[in-house]
Amino acid sequence: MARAPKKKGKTGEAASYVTRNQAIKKLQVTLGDFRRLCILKGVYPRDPKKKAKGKDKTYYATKDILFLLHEPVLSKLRDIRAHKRKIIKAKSKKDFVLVEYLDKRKPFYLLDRLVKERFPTFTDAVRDMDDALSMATLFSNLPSTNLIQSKRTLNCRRLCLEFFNYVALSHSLRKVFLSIKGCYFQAEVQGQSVTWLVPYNFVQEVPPDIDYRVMMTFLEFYETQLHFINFRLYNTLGLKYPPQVDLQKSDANLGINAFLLEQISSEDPEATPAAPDAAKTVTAQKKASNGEKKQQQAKIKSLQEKMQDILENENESKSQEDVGEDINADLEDEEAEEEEQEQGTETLLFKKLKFFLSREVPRALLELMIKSFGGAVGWEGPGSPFPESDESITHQVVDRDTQRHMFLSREYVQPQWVADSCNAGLLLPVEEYGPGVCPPPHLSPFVDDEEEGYLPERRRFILSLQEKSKNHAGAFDDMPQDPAEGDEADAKMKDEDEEEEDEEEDEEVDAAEAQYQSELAKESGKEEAISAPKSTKTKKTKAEIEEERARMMMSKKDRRLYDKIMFAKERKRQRVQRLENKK
Amino acid sequence: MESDSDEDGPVMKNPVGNIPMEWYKDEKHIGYDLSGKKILRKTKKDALQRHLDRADDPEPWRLVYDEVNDEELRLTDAEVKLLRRLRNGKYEPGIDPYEDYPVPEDDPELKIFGPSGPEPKSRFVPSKHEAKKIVRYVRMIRAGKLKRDPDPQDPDKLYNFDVWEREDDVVHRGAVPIPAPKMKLPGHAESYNPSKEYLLSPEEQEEMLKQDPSDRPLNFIPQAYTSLKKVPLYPSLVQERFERCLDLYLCPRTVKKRMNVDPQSLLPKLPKPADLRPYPSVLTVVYEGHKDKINSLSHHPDGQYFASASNDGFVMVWEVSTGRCWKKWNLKQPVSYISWNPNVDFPIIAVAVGSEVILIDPRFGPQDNLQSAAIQELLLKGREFAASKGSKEKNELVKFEDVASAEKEQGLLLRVKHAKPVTQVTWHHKGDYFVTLSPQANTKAVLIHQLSKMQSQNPFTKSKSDTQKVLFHPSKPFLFLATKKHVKVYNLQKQMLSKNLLGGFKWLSSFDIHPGGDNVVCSAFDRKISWFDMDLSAKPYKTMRYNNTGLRTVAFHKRLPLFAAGGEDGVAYVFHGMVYNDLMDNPLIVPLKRLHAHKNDGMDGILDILFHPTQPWLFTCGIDHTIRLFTDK
Repeated sequence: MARAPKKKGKTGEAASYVTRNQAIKKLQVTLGDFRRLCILKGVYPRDPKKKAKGKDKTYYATKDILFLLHEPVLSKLRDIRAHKRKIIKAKSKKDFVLVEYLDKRKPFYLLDRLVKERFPTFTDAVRDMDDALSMATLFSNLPSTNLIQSKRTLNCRRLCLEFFNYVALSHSLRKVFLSIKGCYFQAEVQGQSVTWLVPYNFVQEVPPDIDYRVMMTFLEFYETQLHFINFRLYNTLGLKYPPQVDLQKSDANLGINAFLLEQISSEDPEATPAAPDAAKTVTAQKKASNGEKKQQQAKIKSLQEKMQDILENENESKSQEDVGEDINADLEDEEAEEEEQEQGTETLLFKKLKFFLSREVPRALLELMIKSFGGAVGWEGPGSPFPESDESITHQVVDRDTQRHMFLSREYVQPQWVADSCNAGLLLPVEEYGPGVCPPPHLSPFVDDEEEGYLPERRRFILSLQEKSKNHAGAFDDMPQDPAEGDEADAKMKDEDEEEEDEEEDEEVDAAEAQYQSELAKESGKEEAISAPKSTKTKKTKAEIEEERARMMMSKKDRRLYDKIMFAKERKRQRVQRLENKK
Repeated sequence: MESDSDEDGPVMKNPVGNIPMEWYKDEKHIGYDLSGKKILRKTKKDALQRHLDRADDPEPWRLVYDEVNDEELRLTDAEVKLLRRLRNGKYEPGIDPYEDYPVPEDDPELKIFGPSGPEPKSRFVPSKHEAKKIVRYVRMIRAGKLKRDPDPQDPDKLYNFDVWEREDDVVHRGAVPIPAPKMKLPGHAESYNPSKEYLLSPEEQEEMLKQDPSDRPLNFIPQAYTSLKKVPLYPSLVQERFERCLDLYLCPRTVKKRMNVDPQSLLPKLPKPADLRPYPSVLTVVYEGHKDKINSLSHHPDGQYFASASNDGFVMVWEVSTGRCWKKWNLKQPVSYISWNPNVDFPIIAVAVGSEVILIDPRFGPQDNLQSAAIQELLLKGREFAASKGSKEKNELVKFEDVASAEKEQGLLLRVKHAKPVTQVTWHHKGDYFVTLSPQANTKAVLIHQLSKMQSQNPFTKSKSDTQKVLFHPSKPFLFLATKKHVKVYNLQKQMLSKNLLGGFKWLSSFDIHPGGDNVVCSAFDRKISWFDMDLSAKPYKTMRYNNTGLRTVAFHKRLPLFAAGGEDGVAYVFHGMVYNDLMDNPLIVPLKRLHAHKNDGMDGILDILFHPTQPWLFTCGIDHTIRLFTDK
């Protein structure tokens, strides 16, 4: 039997991609709902090689659209639309009883499934956490408008603080960068580096020409994602989630200090949903985390005993919050010790230091830095664990030119010292960061020096300090470096030598030629005729001539690629040159 | 019963009753008395009188005008008090408005005023209306339409579990997800206190602001602050985050492989020029003598001499080794092309001058008399043959004319007169035939002439007006013809097109055939040289590009694996072009050297190049009136 002829647009690229309008028709939703759905489900346009419907269209993968078609959120969105219409109708009929009835029954959707769908493993979720965190930190600083509800803002603030608290507790902060946009933090969570930006403590401007519906939809998903990530992170520390908040401290804007951490009690099976089930996803990391968990549980037990001791010994009148704080401190101490054992002192740079923050420095940011590097923090204002007059304070962070009373027992530093020390992994000399002094340049810790191609003066200085401290730490470690490297260098040298020889030879020949030509020219009395071609012949090195020859023989494709690479190199070189010149 | 009666009150002087007094407005009277007589209105006081009265009166506010009786009354103290009390809404003193109402107990008379009759039945029977409502609600509840008010939803409580520990079959069934690229991490320039070199100078800043925001390398202007507390609000943070959101859901995503190629690996490995010696590289001799630009060069078959043709009307023969002009002929017109017969027995020079081709016998001294004799014999043979045939055709293609005797002394042999200017003349390798090109002559553009018969033939019937160059195959009966875009190969025996070489040229300038006959190299004004291996394909085996200028001419060496091209910038490019005898190996082409030979005037530099037949020497001629010889080192 003859096969039916293939129909156009049924196979291949044409069938595997659809335009946005086709997708909307297929899903029978409005553009707004489609956008919402795409944002929540993480569906984005694709770039097919063959654009069947023209280049000006946006294409989605057909598979994605079919996947959306069966999405429960889609039907919920339809329900919400229908429900809105019902309310409008009831209002217009002045049936306020019905309006009230309907108001209480607004359809809603849950996003937990979508989180699981988009991030099948916890690591995936952490890897994609950057945007979520930056968005949440931004929104926690936004004023509430009719589009940005204060409820959401508060929730964002809570989620951020919870995460920061985790970072501080687990000492996972790695890099800090004070930029003009805000403060960048980079932490290592679950083996993934998570980077986020915390704006400085201003009320942000809310530009009017932004579609906040889009941002709110993103935020909706991000909030859920952060919630689940925090849940899991707290569980790995053996803590209950969500942590209780001390309202009094929260009102005093004490940030991460307001959390009352509570351990998961072993009798309550429901509170430990993260039961170890390593057989399912057997990865080394997981096993490690399981091991951690056991340790944590042991720790928790000891903590519980302690807690009971406290409860027994202390009067009943002692408030709950104090206990929480004690636990907090205990946890930190133990964590710190453990970390120290595991990773050496490097990550706990501020281990034995005690900081006091003046009121003009951004407290929340510095607190996060200091706590996650193991230091103790006090501040000017309510809720500080120790007053300014405490003699054991080693550093006072100030951002004022003059001080009322200077304690001789402590160092006075600017906030940049804390950030620079965190990045350098060592305590930098404090003289350059004193009050009223313009501190040395603050460099981004995220720059790959090799890729940048330019080493600022300050970076060189810090590298030398690091080298010194390393040498100091292990005097026997400075063996001759990689022997292969040496060989390579030797080989290079040899090559260069050869080339030089060649060049010399060539130069000799060229010189001879030039001389001959000039002589000829003299003979003929026509200097001009010779000098003209000579002037066009710019002094080219042997390598350049060689390259020109080879370039001539390249295929078009190769040549274009080569030119592109060389162009990029040249641009980078120029950039570096410009920086060098400005120094 | 007491209030309605007027009779009990003060006696009415004007008993008109309770009527609007405006009815009497226009009358002189105001009513009638009891006897029926008109009561006349009192004469009205004028305003002055009224004012005087009021001024005289100690208490004028007590006066009230009674409209009905048409008289003025004076309020007494008691009346004033009463009025004041009324105005303040007070009771008469002594009256308690809130006095308890004394409820009389079991007063049978009072029962009269209570509800009369027995209670209606409806008060004791359940309401039908309500019963209906209840039934409706029950039905709605049963149908699930009516539900209890739900608890307010708190996502924290709903989400109180670890989503990654849950066992549910949530699977991503969409297309393979492409993770979004992370945002670029900030560089040194974004620091609140960057090092000085990262700050922009005012010019750089201006330049950056001129660019479109999407083209700028940074989306902010680097700033330096002396301390952290001086850092102000960054205004476009929300905007940037919004743009990131848009990127995440609006940007098409594809996986792009980042090529991490070492650029050196892309460069082809070429043999060193030193290994491919000999090749011309050094300027050795400059031949001077022409007064105008030199159009063409050609060498004697044994390579001892070469000839040049110039716009000044001279044809000169030079001795290669000494640079001496050995002989010259003044033809008085610009000479466009010159070609030396490759047959050693008949060393005739053919030159194209205007619309003529002139054949010249160079006569190399007494020892060459033999050759001159041979040439004369050949011509005689041709004349005889032509005479025997007679001039049958009236419209001959060309005219073979004898030269004047004075010219004969100089060595000129014959003029071949064409209808239109001749641009090129070239010999067959056996030396009997030569072909001329005069593009303006349309269908007669390409003509083949035979010396031994003094005869011409036109191989083409169609117009060949865009022909650039024409050459004989070095050994076979083929004619190569270059148009602006192609090189066409005609089989002269079969009289048909045998090959069409396509190089994608816009304007082909020149070509040459490898002495082996299977390879052709073409130069084009569109800055490229193409090597065709006719055994492989009709398309170029290799194309070499120049970024500088167009190329005017190209030539192969007769013996050595060399070829060269001359550019409009006065630079000659020398290549190694090795053709292997076995068919397995493709030709090896290596660029060797750039020779800066001649000046250029922006339009032209080198006009012709020529290889020495045996030595690795290259002659170039150009617009600067000189010929240069480049030799091996």
